[in-house]
Amino acid sequence: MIELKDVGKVYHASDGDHRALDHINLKIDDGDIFGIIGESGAGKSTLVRLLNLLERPTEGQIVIDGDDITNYEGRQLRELRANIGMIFQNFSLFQQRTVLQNVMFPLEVRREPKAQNAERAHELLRLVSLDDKASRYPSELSGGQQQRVAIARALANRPRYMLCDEATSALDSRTTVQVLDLLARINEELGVTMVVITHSLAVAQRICNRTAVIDAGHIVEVGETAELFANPQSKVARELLDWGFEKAPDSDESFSSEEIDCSEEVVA
Amino acid sequence: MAEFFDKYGALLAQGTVDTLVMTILSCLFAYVIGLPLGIWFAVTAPGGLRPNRAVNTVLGWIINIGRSIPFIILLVAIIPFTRLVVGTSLGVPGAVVPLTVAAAPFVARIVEQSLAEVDKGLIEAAHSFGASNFQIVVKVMLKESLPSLVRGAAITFVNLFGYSAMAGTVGAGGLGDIAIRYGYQRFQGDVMLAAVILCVVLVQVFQTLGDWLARKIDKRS
Repeated sequence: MIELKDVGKVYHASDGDHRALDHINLKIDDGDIFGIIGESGAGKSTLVRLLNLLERPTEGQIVIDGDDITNYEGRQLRELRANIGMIFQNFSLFQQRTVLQNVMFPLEVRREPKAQNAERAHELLRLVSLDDKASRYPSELSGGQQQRVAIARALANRPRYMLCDEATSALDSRTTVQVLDLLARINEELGVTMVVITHSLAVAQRICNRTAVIDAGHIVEVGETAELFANPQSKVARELLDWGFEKAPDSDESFSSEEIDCSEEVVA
Repeated sequence: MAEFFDKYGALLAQGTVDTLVMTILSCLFAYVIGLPLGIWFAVTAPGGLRPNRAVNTVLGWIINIGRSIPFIILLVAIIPFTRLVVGTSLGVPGAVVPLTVAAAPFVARIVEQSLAEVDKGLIEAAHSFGASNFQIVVKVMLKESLPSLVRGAAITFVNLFGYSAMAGTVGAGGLGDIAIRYGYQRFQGDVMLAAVILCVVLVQVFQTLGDWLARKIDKRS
């Protein structure tokens, strides 16, 4: 379980302080696919980076599985991060490493035995149906394939948590569905708790069981996803809903009709 | 033609060997000093792995001062230092020291440039998997910028090749020295031309080799 208690983040700049997050209180239960939805600049990227301390909060506490991690440093911090996988909007694959070497990277930095690393990486690539691309380089893959490699890489250390920062924003709607369904499957079959940052209502609706709406550094609404969007209380949630229907009807339609092609059994 | 080579072949061959020895050795030593310096410079830069304004500023000064001193001045100015290091200020050893001192700050700067080009997102991703700063430098920054580092090394090599001509003034020999002594001072245009052609060909070969290697190891496209 991840808990944020009165968390705030202030950036100090030469032209004064900028408050990115203010009094954030959230509880993310084990097994959740927890959505954090908001417009760009609302603070959602900062928020997700607090969970593995890529950003440090300036106020409040972050508690993961009962441990206050807010001030973790050095080795303790690296251990924590190994237990929290992360995927990114632009995939962030290492361009000079093969697909296999990318997936092995998190194991390599933890100094796991080399022979087992390759075996484990192949296992993960089978999970995302890309084992045939193991010796290719990221530049030879499509966006959707690259993100699936990134997912395999994020799972390498068998994390309990996975952070997804706008993971499908750079993908077309068809590929988005494949990636989202893969995430949902990983959540279900491996029991990985997910935190999904998105600006897209369709993404939250497709995979998130619970969703928080963030606006200007504040959480304005939290609840069951279906309920939240059936009966939005906040202005931002209503706006996102309007935006979703007005501007993205195509993607909404295609979101319900696609089948994922990653159908191999889970071996991790 | 045959007569020319009988007379000057050995001289030109020796010149080529001297030039290559000077260039290769000073390039090597310049990287031994410049590579860690460049990494340190990149790591302490604002927004770097471990920003440190004071260290970064001082390193910046050292690197810029080192790069701004004309080589021919440096060559003479550090003669006491050269004697201290290799016991002489003459010949190939006497030239390698000032060449190294001149090239190291240049190497530090281009290494820093190469490392700064590495996508910040990759460094963030590496952090998110629990990599230490040292691991990020070796496994991400150096690895991802390797093609760029190779291009930088080719530039350094060619620059040193050119600088080594001036090392003739301390009796280190080399093709540049031959061109100056025979062509400029004795008006033997044919020897000068031969030496210059050799320089041009060698530079072309090394630059092409560097470009080819950089392309070959780059997996981005």
